Amino acid sequence: MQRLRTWLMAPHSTAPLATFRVVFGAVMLYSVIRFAVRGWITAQYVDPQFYFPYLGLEFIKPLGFWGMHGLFLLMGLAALGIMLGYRYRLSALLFFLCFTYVELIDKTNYLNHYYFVSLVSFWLLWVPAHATFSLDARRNPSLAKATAPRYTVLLLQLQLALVYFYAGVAKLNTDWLLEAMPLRLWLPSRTDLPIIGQVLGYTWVAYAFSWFGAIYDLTIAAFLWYRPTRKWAYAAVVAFHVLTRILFPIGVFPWVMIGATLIFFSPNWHLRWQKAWQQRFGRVSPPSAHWQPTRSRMALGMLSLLLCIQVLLPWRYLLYPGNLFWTEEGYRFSWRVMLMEKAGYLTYDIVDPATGRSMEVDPQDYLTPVQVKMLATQPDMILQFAHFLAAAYEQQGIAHPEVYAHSYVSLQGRRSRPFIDPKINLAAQPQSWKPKTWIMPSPAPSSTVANR
Amino acid sequence: MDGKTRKGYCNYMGNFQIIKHTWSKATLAGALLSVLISSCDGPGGGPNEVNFDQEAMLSHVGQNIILPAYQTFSSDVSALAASLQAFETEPSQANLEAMQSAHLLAWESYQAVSPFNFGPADANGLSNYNIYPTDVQQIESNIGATSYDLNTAENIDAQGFPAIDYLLHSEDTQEATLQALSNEARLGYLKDVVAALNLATSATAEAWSATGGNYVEQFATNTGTDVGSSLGMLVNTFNQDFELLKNGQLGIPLGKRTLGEALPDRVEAYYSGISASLAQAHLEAIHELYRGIGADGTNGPSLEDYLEAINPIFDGETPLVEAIATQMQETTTALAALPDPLSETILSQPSLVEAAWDEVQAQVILFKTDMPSALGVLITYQDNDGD
Repeated sequence: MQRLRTWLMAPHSTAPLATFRVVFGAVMLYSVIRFAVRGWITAQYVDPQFYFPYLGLEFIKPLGFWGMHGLFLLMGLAALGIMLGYRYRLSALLFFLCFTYVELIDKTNYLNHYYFVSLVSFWLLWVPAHATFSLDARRNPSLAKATAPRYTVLLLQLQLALVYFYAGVAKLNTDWLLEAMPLRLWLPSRTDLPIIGQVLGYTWVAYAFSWFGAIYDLTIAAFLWYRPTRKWAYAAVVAFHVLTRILFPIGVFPWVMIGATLIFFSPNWHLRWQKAWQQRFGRVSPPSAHWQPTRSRMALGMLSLLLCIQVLLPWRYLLYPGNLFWTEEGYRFSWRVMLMEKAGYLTYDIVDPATGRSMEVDPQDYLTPVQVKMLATQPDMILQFAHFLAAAYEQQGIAHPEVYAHSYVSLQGRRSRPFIDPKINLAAQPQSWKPKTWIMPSPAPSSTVANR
Repeated sequence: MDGKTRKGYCNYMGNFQIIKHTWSKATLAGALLSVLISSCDGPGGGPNEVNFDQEAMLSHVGQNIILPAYQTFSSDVSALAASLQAFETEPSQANLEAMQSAHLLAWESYQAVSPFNFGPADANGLSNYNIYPTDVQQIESNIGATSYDLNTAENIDAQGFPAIDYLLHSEDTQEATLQALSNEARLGYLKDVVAALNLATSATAEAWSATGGNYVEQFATNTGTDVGSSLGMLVNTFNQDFELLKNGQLGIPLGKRTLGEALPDRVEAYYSGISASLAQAHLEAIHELYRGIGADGTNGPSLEDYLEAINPIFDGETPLVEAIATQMQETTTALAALPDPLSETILSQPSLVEAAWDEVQAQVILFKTDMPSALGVLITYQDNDGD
């Protein structure tokens, strides 16, 4: 234990952190601008009449048109601050708070890469990524540090390794490996692409992509750590993410990963390009000091605790019965990326218990198209919206309205099946983390490591 | 799939294993692959190659289905405008009847373009010309006013086919209609409404035509599956349109949104009483689009063929193409059983309408979940990121 601690605290160059900071800040700045330019601030956080908050976090609400735009402006400035290393601590804190707040407003917009961004920006609060190659270090030379404890770099490497490894573990299921689902559905739809499109129609290509994808995710971190294979592994990272960018609508995530994995390169590699850049602008002031956290024992303890939580979180689905892909109980925050083709159709029946008369409600009348799409396949959202409808119709004069869901879901190209038990009054079901007994049985009892 | 194809892909995976062994992770890959090979006995099936030319389908759908549908629709609306002109010159009962039937014919051809509410139709707001129930009060107040602007929001449901329906078919007798239309302001309003419809229609048809805006070309080459691709737009509007059949043409008048209280005056063609036949025409147009049947009867590459080519099969499941074909038959039969006027059928034989609604609902599920899933189409009308 003592030896591990010594190893973790041993001095390590801060140059990789500086590169990470610059790249991460730049991609986030681009991401915020892109989000605003595409009108998504309004589309996702101003237009909807109803939001799907996380259980226990219902106090996180959208802030209106100006509030949301102000929040994104602040987020953009904070990303710029991170990139330049200007008032770095404050920038990192602001970015973490703004970004996480926005992501927690509505489950509809949950993306694994947003979760990743929140985690990374949290880690950035604890490491001296502004110790070199930053405006802060230039303005205040006492901040400039050549080295910091090894754990500061290791933390980010571990975070990336965790993402890849769990994304790989999640692929170890029968649908992915034995049926090549969902790639078998997705790839042939892109045969229109130039050059690579020609082969995407072949089933064996879907199998090859599935298997290479799984092996890549499971092993890439090890190959990046191991010096002799690093260059090739990085080439694989670039190729893999560029390919996913071409094939799927996954936004800035490929650029985030291609940039972030540079953290695995040696300090010398980072120093080389940073020096070259600095020389260009005529100032080279190599720092020599060492950065030491004020309470290293506490910092180490807390950081390892957070890593442990992340290691355990993806396994919480084991506490629930049924097929994970079908019920999605314990699905989020687990690096399950591009694993499912799932589509649903959902309407509700509102019944007036006084008269027994019923009427159909179409969620499309209340929600944005993306919300409707996400709602149809995710039981916790279906329950949330049922409660909203019960309250809305109570207000319209129906005493204790009953709410029933009529829903069909198609999973991994299988024929659609009833999803929610249509005989259960959802208005009477509490929201909780307990298993949802009103989800119909899954059409595909997958049995593997990652997915029962 | 039959044994032959499955054997095909097992052989292929055999070769694949040899290639893989040269790679650095030979052992792991070999172990994993042996699991994969064993899967050839597993539940998976389907073709070993999806051979489907999306551009050919889009080209066929554009050239042989959409374009002719707009041509017919546009000429039927022009005929309505011409019949109105004839009536104006000579307001006889014969000319009135010609105008009435021209209106119904054009309304029926509208059903065949209703699924294509993207691109030119969207730009010209074509769907705004079939909003029902029409606002009778607004129409009467416009007629009584010295001036009005049909482009304002309050007039959106005071024009188009349902407004013409009211102006031409709401009186008990033809004499009464002739009498009403002898009012200059009333006839003037009818002329304005028909002119606006004619303008939007011809603009849309012109935008699609190869000699005009040539959207038909753009449609064929805009391949892909994302929100802005032709396939994405087609499948999305196809589904929106099918829900219009479910909700607008059947569900709302049946009382599906009002605790079972029927609203017969909410049918599409309340005054002329042809709502059921409009719904039937609509269903047929949607089915022909799905099956790729062109205006001249030629069958070309279609959504159905695309599904057939992708064809994922799991044990014990009816193939999707078969399930859709069966359901289409059921829906057609149930809808054909509805006599017009639908507003009366809803009150006299609600169970018939209810049964038709159930069948349409069953078909919505297939079109909205199974089909886009199999096609890999993002069924959303909104651009966003995935992961």
